[in-house]
Amino acid sequence: MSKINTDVNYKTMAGNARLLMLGESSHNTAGFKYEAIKALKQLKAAGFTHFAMEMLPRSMQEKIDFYQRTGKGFKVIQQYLNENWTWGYLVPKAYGELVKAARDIGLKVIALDISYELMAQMDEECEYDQYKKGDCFSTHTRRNKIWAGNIIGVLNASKQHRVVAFMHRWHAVQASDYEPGLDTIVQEKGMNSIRFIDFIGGISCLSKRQCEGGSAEVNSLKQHYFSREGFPYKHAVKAFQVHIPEQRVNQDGTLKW
Amino acid sequence: MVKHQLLALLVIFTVTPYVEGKSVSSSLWKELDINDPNLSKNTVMRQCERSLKYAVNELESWCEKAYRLGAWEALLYIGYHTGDGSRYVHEVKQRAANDEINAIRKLAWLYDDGLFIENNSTEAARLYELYLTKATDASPRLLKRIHYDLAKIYTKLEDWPSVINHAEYVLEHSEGDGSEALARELRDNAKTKSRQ
Repeated sequence: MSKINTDVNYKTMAGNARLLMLGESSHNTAGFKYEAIKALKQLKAAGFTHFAMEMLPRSMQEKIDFYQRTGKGFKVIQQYLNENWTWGYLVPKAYGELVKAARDIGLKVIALDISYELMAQMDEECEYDQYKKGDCFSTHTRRNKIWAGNIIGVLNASKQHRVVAFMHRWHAVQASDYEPGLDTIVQEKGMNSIRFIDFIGGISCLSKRQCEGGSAEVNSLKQHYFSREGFPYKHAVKAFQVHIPEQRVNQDGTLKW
Repeated sequence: MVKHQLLALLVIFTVTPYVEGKSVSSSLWKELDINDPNLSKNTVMRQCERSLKYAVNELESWCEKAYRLGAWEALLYIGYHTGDGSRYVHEVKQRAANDEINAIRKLAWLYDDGLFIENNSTEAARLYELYLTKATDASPRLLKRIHYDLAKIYTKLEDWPSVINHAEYVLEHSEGDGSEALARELRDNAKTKSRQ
């Protein structure tokens, strides 16, 4: 791993990439969503035009577009996040704040994922014993391929388009040899201007009082905010990690670091 | 009256953390009973894989169970969770030494770029080639993926004829889904390099 950089600069890390994947090492950490808001502000200034989210299904795109145009109808989006993305204390609220911020900044919000009904159907169609041998694709891989198609669609629509995509890290890169990450799938579709930033550290709270630090760094770094080049697992594009301190996010979403 | 109110407050403060703490999105993570004797290996392994994203606190329970049911790939997920993949590496090496062809393939994958093991492209190539000689019933999709990985590895090793050979295999077995773009790039790059 390379040395740490305390001047966390998203524009520098993004370089000239047309697709920048922001990966959460855990969905449970509210702080990652607020760090993403910080990143979006810099990335919009650097020329990014779209913000794609794993947490929103394609079936909601019309409602998202309506909210994007009018500023009305956010309640429906927040309700969906409350019902489906309750991974920890303040987490659905944080995802909602991220959607709001993307709109306010002027990024076009894109829903990436498929419906849960379709996921269940995919689960029925291909079992572990089959997909590990390559007889069929797992639901995870099929979702990744669909997301890649959605992102490529946006990028191919205009050479000016640049996408920031927010997802769990194990969608961005591969965890197993039979489940490729978007870093590979998007390249297979002819787009290789991609970078990946992995959010690590932070604190995850299952309730207001039940919290656990998420940093795997040595003690002297756990409370530090920094970035560094590289990613400790398999990856097919230039990657960075941004470590946020093991500190709580305030009720209003403000950050201490 | 006051006693009842205090009792009610005590109940609220005792129960609330658990209600809030139910970190569950029912649509993405299925709440299954891990002790259900009817759970199949496939179901348990899927829970193991998904826990990496959706229920890390349950990962070790599900992945250990998957391992006991014969899905030794589960050890990889435990490695990601704990940051220590030595148990998985040991398992794969032992199985590869016993000539289990899928373990030979997994070991090649681990050596390629070095996951929980030192990066060794030469050994990755040797093991993948060995797998190809033994894998008589491998699916066409899997074979295509291995040839593609070999083309990438030989690019790192600057073995241009081998790159061209394996990239050509990928192109000849294209599924028309656009996935051949990278193989074409590898092949064309190898052709240019081999002419220099």
